[in-house]
Amino acid sequence: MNDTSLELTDLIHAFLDGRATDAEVDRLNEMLLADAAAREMYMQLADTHSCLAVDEQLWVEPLRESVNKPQTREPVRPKASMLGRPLPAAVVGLAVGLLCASLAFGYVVPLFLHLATLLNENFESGVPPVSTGMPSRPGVWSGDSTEVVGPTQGVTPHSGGKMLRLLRADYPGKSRHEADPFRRVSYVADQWQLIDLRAFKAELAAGNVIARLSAAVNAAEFPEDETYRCSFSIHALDAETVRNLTPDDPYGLSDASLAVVDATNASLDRDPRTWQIEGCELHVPADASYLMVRVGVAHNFEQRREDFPGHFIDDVKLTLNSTGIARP
Amino acid sequence: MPAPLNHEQFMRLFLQSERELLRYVMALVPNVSDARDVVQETALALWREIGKYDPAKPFIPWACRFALNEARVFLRKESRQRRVLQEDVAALLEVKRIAATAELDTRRVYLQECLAGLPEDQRGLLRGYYFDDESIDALAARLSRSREAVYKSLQRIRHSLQQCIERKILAEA
Repeated sequence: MNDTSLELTDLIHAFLDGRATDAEVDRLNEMLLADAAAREMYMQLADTHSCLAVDEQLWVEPLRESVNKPQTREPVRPKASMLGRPLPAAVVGLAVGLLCASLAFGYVVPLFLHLATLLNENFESGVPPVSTGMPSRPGVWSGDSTEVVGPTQGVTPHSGGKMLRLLRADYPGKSRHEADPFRRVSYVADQWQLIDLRAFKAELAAGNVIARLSAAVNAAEFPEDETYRCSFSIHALDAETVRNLTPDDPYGLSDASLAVVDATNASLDRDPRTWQIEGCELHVPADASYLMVRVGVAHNFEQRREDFPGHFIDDVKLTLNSTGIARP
Repeated sequence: MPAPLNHEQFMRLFLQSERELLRYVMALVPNVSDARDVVQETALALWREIGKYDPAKPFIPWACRFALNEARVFLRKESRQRRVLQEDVAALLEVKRIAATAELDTRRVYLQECLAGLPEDQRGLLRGYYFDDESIDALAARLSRSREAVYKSLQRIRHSLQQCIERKILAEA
């Protein structure tokens, strides 16, 4: 690469990044006006820039349908491939009918406006989650036994130097519900976090808000005859339910939720070098005050094990998005 | 000429095409937020003129003409206050963009492959910066590195991505 080409590349990147000075933009305009090759270079770099910024397909795998239908009050939707603005008022009316039709077909209009990132956890602080079951206050991870670790068992963190290792499907002192065989033992190692939504009342009132939960999940190599699945959920809760939360009753939580999506679906591959990005989405009811989100990994039921020999989570993210379309 | 599209047909086409429109617009208006404003205006312009659209023809090339027109309006409006491309430069780039559509689509496929081949930390940095809208400052804080170090890494990664794409194009040729 010669000096002019280097200068051009730097100018283009500075312009695309929004960092170019007036003089640099003038110089770039001058070069683009004078030289067809410069325009070609610009077009290639600008297209890469836009694809990286808006083409979700470059970054994530599509989500799969939940297999846990009975607990799914809202449809588990394929990962939307578009981030956008609310449509202009003149066009919004058109969209409502389409959204209804789309939901009926299990397909959802892929048009979203990012409202807020509520959770962006990469465990780099090194602070381990609390091992006391579901949390009763916002802002802390709590759930089954875990630890924050660096690279181990052939798995390196999805980002940074740390990740969360799931150790067991229970925690010290967890109630066993001996009388109820379905609640006696859990084969899912999970972590929960309560998110306060009360600052978003106005946005929620529009009835078009979607919460999107995602996380990177990985496992150390495990025997071929074992199966592990990613397990995620989002519960929309009112304030009264949150006041009465108990740490070990996810079934009661589902019953009390305004809406819930529970997605236990994607199987983990056996290659510790590959992270899987999985998650779920929920239309948030207008009267929700909190979200309880859960990320975890489930043993195949037949394995009947509560320990997890090498399962990891990193980069948990929860965003609020608006469809820009009022729900009917 | 076939019957004009109804509301639902228009919405379907628009929503299916919106990412492509955004991609077009961002060649001239690289800031994502500004580009989305332009695409929003494009939706209105398209709807006003939907009676002129021939459903027998592809929607995206037709819609892109509106998007580019709205981008020009944006550049004209912003040119006095902000650092934007000159209108005559934008006009030349539009010509180039239309001529290079197939080539850019091929590059996008290679971009995806090259991105998948990046080490996780590099891919994470790119994703944070581009897709998750994290600022250089936020990335620097999260990664416990200086702003300059983060920006240099970003430059290096972008350079290696471009080289990877070029290698794949050469190999195909």
